[in-house]
Amino acid sequence: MSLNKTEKALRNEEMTIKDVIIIGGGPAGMAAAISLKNQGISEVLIIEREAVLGGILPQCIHDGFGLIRFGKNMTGPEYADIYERRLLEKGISYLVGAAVTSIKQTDIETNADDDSNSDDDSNSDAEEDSRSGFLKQVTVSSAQGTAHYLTKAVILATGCRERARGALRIPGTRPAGIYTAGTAQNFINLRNLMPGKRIVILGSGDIGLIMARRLTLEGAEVVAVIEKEKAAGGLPRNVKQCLTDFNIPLILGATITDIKGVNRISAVSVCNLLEDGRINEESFRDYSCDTLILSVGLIPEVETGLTAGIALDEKTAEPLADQEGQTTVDGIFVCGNARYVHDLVDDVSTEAESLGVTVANYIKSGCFTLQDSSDYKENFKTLKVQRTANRPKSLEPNTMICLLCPNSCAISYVFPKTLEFEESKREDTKRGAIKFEESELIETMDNFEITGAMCGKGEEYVRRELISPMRILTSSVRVLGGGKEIVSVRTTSGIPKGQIFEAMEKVKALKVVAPVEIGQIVEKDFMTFGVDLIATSKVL
Amino acid sequence: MNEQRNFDVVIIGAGAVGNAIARTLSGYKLSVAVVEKEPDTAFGISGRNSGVAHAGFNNKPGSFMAKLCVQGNEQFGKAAEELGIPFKRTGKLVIALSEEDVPELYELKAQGEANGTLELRLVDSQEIKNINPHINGVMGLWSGMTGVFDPFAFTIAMAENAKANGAVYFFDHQVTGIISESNLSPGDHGFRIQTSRNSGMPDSKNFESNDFQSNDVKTLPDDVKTLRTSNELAARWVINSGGLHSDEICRMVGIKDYVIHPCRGEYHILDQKLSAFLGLPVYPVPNKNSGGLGVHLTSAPSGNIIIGPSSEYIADKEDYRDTKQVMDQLFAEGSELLPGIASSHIIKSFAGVRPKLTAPNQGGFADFVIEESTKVPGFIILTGIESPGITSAIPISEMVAGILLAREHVDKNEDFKPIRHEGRSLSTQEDDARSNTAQSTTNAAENIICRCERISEAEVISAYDRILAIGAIPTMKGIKNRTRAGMGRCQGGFCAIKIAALLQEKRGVDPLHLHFNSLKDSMFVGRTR
Repeated sequence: MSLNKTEKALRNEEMTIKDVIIIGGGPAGMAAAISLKNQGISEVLIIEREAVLGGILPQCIHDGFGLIRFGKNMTGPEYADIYERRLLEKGISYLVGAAVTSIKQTDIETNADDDSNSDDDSNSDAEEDSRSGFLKQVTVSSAQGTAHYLTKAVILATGCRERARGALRIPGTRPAGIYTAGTAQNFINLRNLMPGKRIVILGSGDIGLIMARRLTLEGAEVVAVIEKEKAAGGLPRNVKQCLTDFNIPLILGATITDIKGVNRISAVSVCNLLEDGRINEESFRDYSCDTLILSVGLIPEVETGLTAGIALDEKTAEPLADQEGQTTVDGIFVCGNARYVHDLVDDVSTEAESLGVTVANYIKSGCFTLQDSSDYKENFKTLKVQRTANRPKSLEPNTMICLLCPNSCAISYVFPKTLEFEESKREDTKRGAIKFEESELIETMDNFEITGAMCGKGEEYVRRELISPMRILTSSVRVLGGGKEIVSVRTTSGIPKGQIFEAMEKVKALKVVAPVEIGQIVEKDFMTFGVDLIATSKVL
Repeated sequence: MNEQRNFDVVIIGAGAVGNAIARTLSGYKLSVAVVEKEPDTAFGISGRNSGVAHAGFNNKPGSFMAKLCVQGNEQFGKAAEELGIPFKRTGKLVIALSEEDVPELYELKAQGEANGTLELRLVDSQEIKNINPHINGVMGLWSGMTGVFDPFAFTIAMAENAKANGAVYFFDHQVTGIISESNLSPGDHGFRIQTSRNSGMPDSKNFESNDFQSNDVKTLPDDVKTLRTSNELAARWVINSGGLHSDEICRMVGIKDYVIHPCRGEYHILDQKLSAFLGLPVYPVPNKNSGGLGVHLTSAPSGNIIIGPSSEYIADKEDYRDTKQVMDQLFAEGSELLPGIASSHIIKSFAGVRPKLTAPNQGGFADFVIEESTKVPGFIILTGIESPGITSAIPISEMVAGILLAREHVDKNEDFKPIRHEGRSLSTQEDDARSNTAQSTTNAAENIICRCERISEAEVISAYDRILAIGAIPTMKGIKNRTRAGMGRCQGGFCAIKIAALLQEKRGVDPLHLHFNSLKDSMFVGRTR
């Protein structure tokens, strides 16, 4: 075992050897760090390239987070805050605004004695205790300069990135006004900037659906959501609460075949797809728009891992990893969306916590693993939690998707014959609500035949949805005198769906003075709905 | 506000050739202006090509193309060094995919040798495999002189060096008319060049009042400020380096001899992760009638493989669209040269347009036209400057200077400095950034803005300042062309957010006035609150 001069220099600089460096301070990285600390691993460092922790969560100001993990409905920034608080409580170190530029395998053994300084290390009997891995050198670039860290293990918690236009080979011009859904989401929710007014969304992944609603609430017209598959890509609850609620057309089995406009995008051409995937030229039509939002898939981003030589699945671009989450390079682990793209952050947290235990054991066992590289792919597939796997392609009459949790149960209900609805009772069919006398419904509730709900809440949900559908409103409010122009807000509980646009007008007019804390009431008894409007992020 | 300005020379077009001429002429005691219709340099065809420094074996012996290309290639290393831009003499392979292509390789080699191209050698299939194991071919022509460079960096660097040596740039000035007057200056022919501005005054007002209002923000150089308001220029010499529009510029002074036939070439750019597969440009044997060099693979200095270009005559000179048929065809032909590439490797598609003098029914190549008009003395015509135009840019500029100097005596500009200092290399920028932020503890050179291409805050800010320094108008495209931020696999998904925020914070740019590609677009339509 020999140390070259650089390594010696590094160690002579009294650099602490880390147990684990976690790259990425999003939900996966934070959960893994907390889990490691709980397992008694002391030297844990999170390296985050953005200025704040939380990963993608701060820009996900919509609700639906935490239902599985905490049984509580939260927004993205609130979910991130739970982990950030725990991180601080446990005194876990982290760097922000720091980008990892490379991970290198060194030839320093993880259990090498720190005091060993003899030059003939190579002659020492390494055979005596073979339970050792090799330290990794992690190079970090930040506003403070370049730094090198030595660590026993690395966890890649670097999340994913959005597929851009290139790989889709969409013909046409290359004008302004084409954004990926996440980029548009960042601009609207964090930077107070509207990307456009007349929107076409390509792809029906969850972010695309969420953005359809968000843009609509902000006054843009979402002309259509175009999906090449026969069913929406996102969770059924998102199809319902983001598209159906707002009558946004979801065009299935179609794709964009041309982009028009020289300076700013002016239109897209859309064609239906034939059974064999070819374009049906006869179905060609143009949609005028000033913005195209791409929500066409997410790809794990593990570029930092590639610098250490980890292998990827050629087809999916996912890193090859064993069941435990170890990549093809010993001592480099992966979790969260960097491993595969999860439908829910709740599942990311669970997976990262479990990886924390695995990595803690790896450290405790002297960083020694016997990798079986033969089964990477198989193990990998069986491990995935797919929340959108059993989505219904179409809904039967008198069936509704329960919005209460990501399970998105399709609940069927049959009315007693005596209570068939008259059309006159369909008030405002545009918004899908049916006007009932509450007593009428409660009276007959016992006679409902309800099937398809995975829990007892489904029944209650159906009743509420039929009498007076309620929705949680998530949006943002202008901040005066703070470090940010806007702060994200939500109602503490549902408000009448039919009044959501009125509520938005009210939200747009509100102003709050910095500093703003998470959970701070921005407006008590918002519009006398009996719910408060609270801040879901902080502004200093 | 039509303040007239007088110059010895007005160059029309701030592409590679126009900038090279401005740079070369700034080596003499001449007042030189460049007018450009786009908001920035390298927005036209100079930024839409393979970025190959050709060795000159594709062109007819005795032609300007052959002569200037060989010269340009030989001088490219020196130019790249002076200008501080990436250039690699990678060599190039022309591949015969079947036996019937083989005779053509012999012809190309003979033609190249007649042109004075050095380092040409025929290689057999085994040697091809030795050069690159991924390439298939029965025989190949190896050209050791061919290299690859960054066409944006080259074109921009020449503008910066020309500007540093005294040339003045008028961006967003589209030439709408040229009046030639014999009485403008004594004994000489004179020109008045009329221009119109796409942005119009309201837009430029936006720039002046919003982007540059606060005191801590860098103000525009004074000359740029004054000149922004002038719409007409006067000159003793006009150099028509209008590229695709050079025929229209000719017609403005009554020269009707040239018609540009736009011929589009589409490209795909592949992810850098494939860079190991290709270390040099690989071309098929060219089809003599196609008017191009055939769909080839280029290994850009950035590590991206570029597939293209196609060749298709089109009606509209600036129709830079990608088309489904060609996109599919390029991918198929690229796969033939380099098996194993996948659709998911494509990160971007783009197109350029060749300014050809040969009509669709003729095909092939006409020679460059580089001459002073006999009808309109003082008017120098450059037209048909298609491939290998960018390789030949500097020799073309020297030839233009020769035409001018043969007509009048001009002293050399003793202060001329061919070395460019602006945005030269990362280390220079780091030094700049460190001195700029001497009081602060942060290091802008290490703060990564574009994660795919690893572009720092200092590089983005420097690019913005360099855009203003040559009198150009900032756009996201201009920043991308200078830094590569947004050229990576996420195509600006992450860094567009950071660049917008950074420009607001460090340079006071209101995001609502941020342009993407042109002055007629905007990134955002308003604020949410």
